[in-house]
Amino acid sequence: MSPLALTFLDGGRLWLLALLPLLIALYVGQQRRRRAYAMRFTNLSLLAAVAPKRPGWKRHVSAAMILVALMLLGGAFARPATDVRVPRGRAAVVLVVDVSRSMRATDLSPNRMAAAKTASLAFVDSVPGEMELAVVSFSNAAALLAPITRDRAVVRGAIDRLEPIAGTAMGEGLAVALDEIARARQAEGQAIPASVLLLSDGVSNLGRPPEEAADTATEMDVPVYTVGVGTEGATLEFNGQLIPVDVDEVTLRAVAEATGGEYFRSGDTKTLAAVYKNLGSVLGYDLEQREVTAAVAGLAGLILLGAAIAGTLLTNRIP
Amino acid sequence: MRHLSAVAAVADDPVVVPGADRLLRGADLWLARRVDGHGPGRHRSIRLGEGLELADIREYTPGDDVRTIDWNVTARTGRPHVRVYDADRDVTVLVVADRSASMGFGTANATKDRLARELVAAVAAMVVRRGDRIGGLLFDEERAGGMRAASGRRAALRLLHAMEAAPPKDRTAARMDLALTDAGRMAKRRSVVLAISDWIDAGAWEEPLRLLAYRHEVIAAEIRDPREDTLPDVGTVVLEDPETGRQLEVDTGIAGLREAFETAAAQQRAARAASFARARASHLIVSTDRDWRADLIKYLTLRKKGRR
Repeated sequence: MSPLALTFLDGGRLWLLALLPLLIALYVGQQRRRRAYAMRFTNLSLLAAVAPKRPGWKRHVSAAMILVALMLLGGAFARPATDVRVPRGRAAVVLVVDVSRSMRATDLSPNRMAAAKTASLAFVDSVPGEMELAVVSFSNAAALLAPITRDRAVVRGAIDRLEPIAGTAMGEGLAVALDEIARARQAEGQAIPASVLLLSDGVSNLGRPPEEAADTATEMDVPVYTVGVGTEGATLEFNGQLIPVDVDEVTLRAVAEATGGEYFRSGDTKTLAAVYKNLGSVLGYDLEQREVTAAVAGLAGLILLGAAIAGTLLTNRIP
Repeated sequence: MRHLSAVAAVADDPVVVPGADRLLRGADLWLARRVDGHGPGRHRSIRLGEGLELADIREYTPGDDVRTIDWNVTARTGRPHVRVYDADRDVTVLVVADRSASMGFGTANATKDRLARELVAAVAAMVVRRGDRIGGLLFDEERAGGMRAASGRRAALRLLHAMEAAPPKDRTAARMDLALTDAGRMAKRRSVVLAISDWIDAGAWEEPLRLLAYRHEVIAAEIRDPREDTLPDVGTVVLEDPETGRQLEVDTGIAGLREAFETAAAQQRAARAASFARARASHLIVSTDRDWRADLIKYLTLRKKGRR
């Protein structure tokens, strides 16, 4: 949603704007009609020969400005509001990154792991400073690389250290992330809003099933956003054999839907970075409706002033 | 007393109305003051047209009055010639008055119509004093009234009243060309034709004027108003031509436009004067912002000098 998208808190009042066409019709009619206050002038044809063909557009400048101002005032009456991005005060995001062997696949350049690191760092940059972050990696088992913290250096260091290892214990990774959130909440003594950003490129093959962890996340009211990395039908040469390394889209989507998060699929480095950046603004900011009536009314006032000046300067009257 | 006489006059002649009467009386008084102080007689002082008209110069025949011999011609030709005059005949003045909408305009001391009527009253007063004849032809888009030439105060009043009864009407354009043609048809005898108009957009009048001036003595009286020559700086205004109803919105704040209009108006006036000269009509100019009486006297004096 662009920041200029307007909504009206009292949309019903916009019906008032229906009067404007009436005003326009009146003005046009007035222009067409013979002027009753015309002055008698007997040498008119001589004057017509030397006079320019009416002052043209100049005559309508001030009327048009008044019309615009009235339109704005009508809009202001309906209390316009716009969506503003407000940085979330206290919130935590746990980045859960798959470091299975398949992250070595080179269908993303230079490989999936490097792309995931770059995107994660971009995410760290795009969230407001108030946000607390943590990093969890999972392979055969899951590990908490950085606890929930505001210290970006710690987080960046943890992301830099990510290296592909072996299996895909997706459920374990989620569980560690949720444990960390639970710990942080307990330490704070309040339920800080938290979410999990899970990146994976394969099928969970170790530890508890991801669905089980998803149930816990739902209970804790932690939405899990999932990102599937890799092109369709990608393979990896391992021990002289070509192993298919496909994303388990079904599981990732199910986890996201169950917890109130969202699933994204990314087939190349660029879109992966875009997805992370977008998530950064979704998770880092709240969209808030702010009433902008005063601003709109003020603008209308300025335009009215302009209309008065234009009328005085250009045509010597205010229509 | 005046009231009684007015009632009596109305009873006597329904065309006579106090307005015309007062106009004529005022003109007469002015003329009396102006004229009777100078010169020996009323007749010789101020008048339009010549009473004595040269009919011919022919060879002397026995019996002719030797006093009428024209010595100049006699010397040139070597044979005696005499000047033959028509009897001291009365002059006929035919007033052709523009009654179109533009005559109802006036921004200074009076409307052009008022000026026209005062002018006619002055001329009528002169005519009445001399016992000459006066007639009239009123015109806007077509003939709006008229009366045959007749002598006497009543004829003068009838003409003035006719003008009063046919005030300038809105949405009527002047057709002085038709009026002048009509005047030529109406005037049987050689007359003095006083054509009063503003001559603005009055049709193609130069040719009819020339034809009329061929036989008659034509005085083209031009009634001006200062507003026809200059534009005031009053911003954007809507102007309307009373004759056509055409409207025009102009920004008078543009100095260039005001200058252009003034230049064009000056050219228009010059072109008009040139037309009168080509048509051999003499040109009398009065304006709503000047003393028309002074203009009239000046005109008559100059004309008299020009004759001699």
